[in-house]
Amino acid sequence: MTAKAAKRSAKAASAGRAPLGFWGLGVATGAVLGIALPTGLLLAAGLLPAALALAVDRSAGRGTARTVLAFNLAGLLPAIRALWREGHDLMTLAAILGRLEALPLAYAAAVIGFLLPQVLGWAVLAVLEARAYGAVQALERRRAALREAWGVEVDRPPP
Amino acid sequence: MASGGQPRVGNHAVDPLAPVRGMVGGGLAAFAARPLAADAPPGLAVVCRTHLPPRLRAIERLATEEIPGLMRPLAQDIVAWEGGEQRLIVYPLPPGPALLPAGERRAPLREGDLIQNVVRPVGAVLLALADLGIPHRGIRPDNLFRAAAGGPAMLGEAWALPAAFAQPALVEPPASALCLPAGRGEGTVADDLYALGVTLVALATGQWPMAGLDDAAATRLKLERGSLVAVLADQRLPGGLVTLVRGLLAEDPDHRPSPAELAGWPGSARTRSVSARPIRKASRPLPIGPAEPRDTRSLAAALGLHWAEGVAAARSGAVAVWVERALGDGQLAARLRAAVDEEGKAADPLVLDTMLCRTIALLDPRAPLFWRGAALMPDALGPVLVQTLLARGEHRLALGDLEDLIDSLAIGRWAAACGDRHADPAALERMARQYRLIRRSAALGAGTERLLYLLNPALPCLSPLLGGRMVTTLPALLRALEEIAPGLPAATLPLDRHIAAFIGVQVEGRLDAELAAVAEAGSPAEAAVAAIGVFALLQRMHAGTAMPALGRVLGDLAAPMARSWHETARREWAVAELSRIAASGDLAALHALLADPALRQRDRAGFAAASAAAAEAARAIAAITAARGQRAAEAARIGGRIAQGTGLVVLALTLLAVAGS
Repeated sequence: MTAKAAKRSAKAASAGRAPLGFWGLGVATGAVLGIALPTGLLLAAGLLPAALALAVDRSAGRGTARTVLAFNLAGLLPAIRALWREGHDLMTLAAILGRLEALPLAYAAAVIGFLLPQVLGWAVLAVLEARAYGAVQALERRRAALREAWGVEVDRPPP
Repeated sequence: MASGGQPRVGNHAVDPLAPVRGMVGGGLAAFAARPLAADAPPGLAVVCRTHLPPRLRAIERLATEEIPGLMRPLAQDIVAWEGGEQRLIVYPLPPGPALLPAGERRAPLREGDLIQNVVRPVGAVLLALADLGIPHRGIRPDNLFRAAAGGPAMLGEAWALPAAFAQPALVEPPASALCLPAGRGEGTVADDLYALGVTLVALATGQWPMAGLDDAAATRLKLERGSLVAVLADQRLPGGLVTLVRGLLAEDPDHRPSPAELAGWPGSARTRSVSARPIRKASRPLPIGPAEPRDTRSLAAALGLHWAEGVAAARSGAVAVWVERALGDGQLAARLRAAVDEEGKAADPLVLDTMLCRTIALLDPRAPLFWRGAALMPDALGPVLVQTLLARGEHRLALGDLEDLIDSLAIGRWAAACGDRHADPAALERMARQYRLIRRSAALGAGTERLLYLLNPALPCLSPLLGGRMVTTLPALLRALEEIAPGLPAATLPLDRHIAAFIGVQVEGRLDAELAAVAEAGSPAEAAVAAIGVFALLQRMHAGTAMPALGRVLGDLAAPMARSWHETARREWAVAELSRIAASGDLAALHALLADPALRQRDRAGFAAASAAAAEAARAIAAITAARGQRAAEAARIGGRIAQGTGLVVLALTLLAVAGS
């Protein structure tokens, strides 16, 4: 199989998975909307960032999307709890949706979930770069010591 | 130097303002030598010539021997002379004038006087010299001296020039007379006996024999008629002398009486059954150039002296035909044809020259080694080489001719063909091969220069770098180099081919590898270091006198080598120490500073290891730098994982908090 053919087949596979997930989510949401419409509507509205992230994140493992989903869901949990406690109907849903700790909290949590991998990546990169810098400095010191002991010719490539 | 500008030689002070004439042959100058010690006799000093080296080994041997009746060398030295340096040899003053100076006529000596005062004393001297293995090679009527009142004659000097150089052809056996004056070789006591025979004829007749003939004519006459007939001519000798002179002038050296017989003549004389055979004459001559020889000895000489015509005659077979038909010697003709058949068809002139050389040796087994119109004895190659180099034009051989002579192994071929039982063909063949090996070598310390000094122990080093200084020993060479070093042109290595060859001979080849390394060095600095190694060894051999001037010159030349140490600390130390050690004149320390092989090896190995380590470090740095993208991807991956974990933890904690409230 050529590389081109493999790429095409991978694309087809991924093209097959995405609609399946998407439709799975749709069916699940539909079921939830059918069984528990207020909760379903709250989930649909509250998890929009997670859905967007899942649609946009094409990276292997979809790390960012998953983090966004976890944070998004964690941010939405207080609103779900409030819906279930205050009355599971559309009026209560409408009242909850108007509160500051409902959708804004979920969306803010999603934003945190989106930013956290980037920030952590930068932090890890900083650590790795610091370690690499240290190694390079040690090597440069070694080369300088060799130059001092044996002259600059020691650094010239052999003819 | 003795006082008053009179150089001191041994126990004598030589007065350059008091020339002594008539005591020394060969055109050498002699001066009065005043004794400085109570037991030293009045003497005369002979001034040697550079291009005619004296017989140094004989001089050194005789200086410790007491031989009555001989002007033996008392001392020799190199002294300041006429603005330069020259070798002077001091002899005792002879008791009186020469018995018969050249070109003069004197009253004939009586037979009894000759036997008592010439034959016996000279016989005793020759006997003593024979015991030492030294032929005199200077017996002639004007080299015998005695007091005006009479008494035994004293034999004059014969060591200030190459053997027999001062001898007129008249007093030499034909083979020796044919040779170049410098090419007569040490010879044997038989040659002295022959010369004594001619001298006795002169003294007995009161005049030099064969007067009016030049050397070539006299030699030709001897070859054609035989020595006795040619020398005596129509002269009559006293009856008792005839037997003696006939024996002394015998063509076969073995038929001549021994020195012991002469010392006790006539009582000790032995009778000899073999008498000289008459010379076999051909029915017609064979023209070779202007010569028209009728016998083999004359033919051999004619072929040798008229080389081009000789090669043509031998190559065409005319010689063999003449020998067979005109001389009637079929056996010799067959041998000549065999010699010509082997090499006569060759196109190489060198092969043809060798062919003629062999042809001559076959014709006359006692003939000298002829080569391109000149003759020499193999052991006289050294003096001839010197004369060729230093006194061009005095004879017919050019340096190229002599080099061809050596390269063609003609000496070995001649020895194998001549059949003379006094020459050892195997030894001469070995000698010829050794000479060729040395001459062909292009290494520093070898080549023609090496042969020059090897064959002439008394020859001073002829290097132009020495500015005419008379250097004949290694200590003198080191002193001279120290003197000339400050004035050497920049970048001039004080070790040229002459100095190298001189050193090679003086140390008998023990520094050949070191000398060769100088020429094989890859750079002038490396050559200077190799030269320092040579001079350091010589300095150690000879008392280790400091040579700061030479050290500075060599140190300057070798400075790049001091800077070539890889290790910085050693390099800086070497550069800093170079001037100090060079100025100290300790060449061994200078050499150790620049060329300690173990340290150089360690330095190279250390540098190689350091280079490898530096390269490895550079590669590692490049790899780290190039891996920045990988690190970024890794950081993103790790950050994502941590974020996921954090998200799940936050979700779980939120769930717990929501469920618990």
